[in-house]
Amino acid sequence: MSQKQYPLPRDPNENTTQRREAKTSVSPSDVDRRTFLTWVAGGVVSTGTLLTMGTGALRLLIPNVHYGESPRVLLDPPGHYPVGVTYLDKHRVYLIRKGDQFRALSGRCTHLGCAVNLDASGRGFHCPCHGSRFDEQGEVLRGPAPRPLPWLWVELAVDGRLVVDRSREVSESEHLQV
Amino acid sequence: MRSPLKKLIHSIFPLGWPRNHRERLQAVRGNLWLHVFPARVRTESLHPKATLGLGLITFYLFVILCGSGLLLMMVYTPSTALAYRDMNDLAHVVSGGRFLRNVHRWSAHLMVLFCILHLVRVFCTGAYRKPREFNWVIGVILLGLTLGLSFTGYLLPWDQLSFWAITVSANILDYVPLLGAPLRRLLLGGEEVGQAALLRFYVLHVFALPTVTFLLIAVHVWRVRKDGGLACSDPELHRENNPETVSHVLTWPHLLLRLILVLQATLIMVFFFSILWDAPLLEIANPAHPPNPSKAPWYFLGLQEMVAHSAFWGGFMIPTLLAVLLLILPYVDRNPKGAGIWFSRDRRFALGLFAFCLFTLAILTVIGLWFRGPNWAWQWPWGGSGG
Repeated sequence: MSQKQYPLPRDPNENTTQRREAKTSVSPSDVDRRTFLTWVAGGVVSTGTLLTMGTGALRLLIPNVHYGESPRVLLDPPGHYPVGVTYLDKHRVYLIRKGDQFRALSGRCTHLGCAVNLDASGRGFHCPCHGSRFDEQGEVLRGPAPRPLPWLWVELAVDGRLVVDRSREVSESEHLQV
Repeated sequence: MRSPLKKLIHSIFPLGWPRNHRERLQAVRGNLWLHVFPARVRTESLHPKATLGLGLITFYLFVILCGSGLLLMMVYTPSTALAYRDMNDLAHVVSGGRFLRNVHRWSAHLMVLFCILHLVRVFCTGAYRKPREFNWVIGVILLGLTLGLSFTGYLLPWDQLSFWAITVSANILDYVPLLGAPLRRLLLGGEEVGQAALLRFYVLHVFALPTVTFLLIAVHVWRVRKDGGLACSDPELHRENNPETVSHVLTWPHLLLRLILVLQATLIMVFFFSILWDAPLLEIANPAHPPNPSKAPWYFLGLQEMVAHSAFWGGFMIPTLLAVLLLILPYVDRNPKGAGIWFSRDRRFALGLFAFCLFTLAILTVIGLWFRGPNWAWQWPWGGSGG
C-alpha cells in the first residue's frame, strides 16, 4: 500500500502553503496590460450581472400590494355596543364605551404581537405569550412589554357607523363623543 | 453462454460481488456512492465510542424527512383555507396518514436533538482542531439550517400552535436594529402571518432549505475524508498513519455493516416514537386568541424564556453572540492538545465554558417546558403556583 491512499492531515510545521504561494502569486510586473484589462472587464460585467439579478429577485419578493385587512376597519353603529369593554376579535381591538364616549385600545401586545386578553376582573389586560400585564389605560404594569398599548383613532363614517383606524395612534385622553 | 439476466446484471455491476481482499478494496473505490469512504478505515474510528454514530443518525433522519416529506407534499395544500383541512384528512381519512405525519414530526424533533448531540460530541472530543476547522463551521451552519427547516415546517399545519409561534418569532425581528422590520416583511410577505407567509414558508421548507442542506451535508461528509478521517486520539500515530503502525480494516464489509445497523436502529427509533405518540394538532389558527400558555417547540423554549425577560437581549443579542462564538470557535481555541480524546484534561477551560453554556440553556429549556403556565407565570410541575 502506498502512502498516497491515506491523505495526511496538513502538518502545521510543513511550509507547503508557503511554497505553493510562492509558485502562484504574481507580482504586478508579471501581468501584461491585456490580461489585466480582461480581468477587470470580466470582473465588472460578472459583478454587475450578479448584483442586478440579486436586487431584482429581492425586489420581486417585496410585495407591492397587501391583501390583508385594511388598518381602517368599519364597525357597527355606536348604539350597537354596550357600555364597558367590547373585544372586536376580528380586528384585535378593544372598544371602550363610557356613556356616549368611545375609545379604542389596541389589543396587540407591544412586546411580540400576541393578542392580549381582558383580565377576569375586567380592569386590565394580560398577554398569554410572555406574561406582560397592562392596566385599563394600557400602561405596562409588569412583564417584558416595552411600551403601553396604543390608543387608536375612532371616528364616525358618513353612514353613522364607527370606524377605528389602527394605523393612527392618539393620546389616551382623546375620545369620540357621539 | 451466459443468460441475458446475468448479462444485464453484469452491465450494471461489472465488478460483481467482491470475493477477496483486492475486490473489496475495488468495490468501494469503483462505486460512486461508496467512494466518499476510504477503502480502508482505522479500526479506532469504527469503535462506537469514537462518534456514537451521532452524525450518521442525523443524516439518516434527514433522509427519512425527505422521504416522508415527499409523501406529505402529495396530500397537503399550502393555502390558509385548505391546510388545516388537509391535516385533519391526514389524521382521519388518508390511509396511514397519521403515521406518516408522526414519522415526519418525530424525525424532525430527533434531527434537531441529534444535531445538537453531534455538536456536543465533536466539541467534547476536540475534533474541530486543525485541519478540521472549516468542517466545524459547515456543521454549525447545518445546525442553523436544521433549525430553519423546523421553524418553517412549524407554520404549515396552520393550527394555533403554528400561527402564534411564527407570529411571535417573526416579531422578534422587529428588535433587530435597522434590518429587522424589512426582513420580517420579506419573510412574511406582508405585515401579518397570512397566505403570503404560508406560501413562502412552504417553498423554503420543501425546496430551498432542503436543497442547501443536502449540498452542505455532501461537503460536510466529503471534508471528513479530505481532512484525514475522524480526529485521531494519537497524533503521533496519526502523522505516520500507515497500515504498519495503525490498525486498519476494510470498509467493505466492516464500515458498511455498521452503516446498515445504524440505519436500522434509526428507523426503529423513529417508528417506535411514531407508533406510541401522535403529533399534536390544536384548533385551526385564530388570529384573535393565542392559546394560553403559548409555547414554542422545545428547542426554542430557552429562547422564549429569555425573550420573556427581554426581546432585544434574549431574542437577538444573546442568540447572535452564541452563533458567532460557535462559528469562530475553531479559530479561537488554538490549544493543540486533546484532539480525538473525550474530555481531555488539557482542555479543562474550554470544556468547562461549554458545559456552562449548555447547562444554562438546558435549565432555561426545562423552566420553559415545565415551570411556565398560563400567562407565562411561574408554576410548579406538580401543581400550585409560585411567586
